[in-house]
Amino acid sequence: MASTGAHPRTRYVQGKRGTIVRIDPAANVADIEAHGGGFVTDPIYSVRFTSRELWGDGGADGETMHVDLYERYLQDS
Amino acid sequence: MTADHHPAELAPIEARVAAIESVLVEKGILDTDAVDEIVRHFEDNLGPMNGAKVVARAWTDPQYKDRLLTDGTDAIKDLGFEGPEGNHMVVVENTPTVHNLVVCTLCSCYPWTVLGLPPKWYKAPAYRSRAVREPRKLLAELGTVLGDDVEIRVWDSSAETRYLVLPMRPDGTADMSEEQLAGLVTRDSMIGVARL
Repeated sequence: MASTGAHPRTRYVQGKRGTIVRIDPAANVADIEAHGGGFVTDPIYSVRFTSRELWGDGGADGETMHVDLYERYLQDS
Repeated sequence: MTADHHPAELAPIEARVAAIESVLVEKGILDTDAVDEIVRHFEDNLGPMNGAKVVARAWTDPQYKDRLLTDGTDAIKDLGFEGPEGNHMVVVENTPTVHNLVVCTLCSCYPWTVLGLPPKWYKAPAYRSRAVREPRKLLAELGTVLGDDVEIRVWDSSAETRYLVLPMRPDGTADMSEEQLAGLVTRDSMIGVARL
């Protein structure tokens, strides 16, 4: 999965490739509600990213980061 | 309070909160007993002692541990811990080769029902950024030195999901009761910044 999430919380994984490790119940997409779009739910995926994928040469082996992302933030990769 | 000619001056935020509270009480919007009850709840009912009970139960009851790792919310509710900031709980298990660390890079998401309110450092930009940027170095600086053979998994909390680390049971505790074991479990071990 590639992340397209643009919320400040998820910006550090935007455009990065990860692997879904858990699927959580659908929840209100706060970004939409905050911009007046009402109550819209989306499934949430816990996506695992390697440190190398996120930080390149500045990253490290043996470290992974997991970020919970709305389905609309993801695209196939 | 006893008569004191020089009472400690209120911080601006304390004065503001007191002023707002008194106006709300005057207007009948707020009941002082309700405020006292909320403060008491945070002081007496919420805190790492709750999480410690969950961990000790998991250490002593394999079936409970399985449930805790597959449906954390429900298993934690079994012990009476549920409520706001703990509505969807995920528990991650430390092993000899995997160490878990919890952070909220955005701000301060934290599992209130089992750990209470977050410590100040948890909300500090340095912790929030370094936990995802260089967790192994950060942990070493905090006194938790992990070998290269230990994978570090960092979990970025959100409004929807809160994480609790299930630490490894320390050696030499085979004879301990569940209650004694709970006494060994620290807040930091359940955030993942420390090992037991």
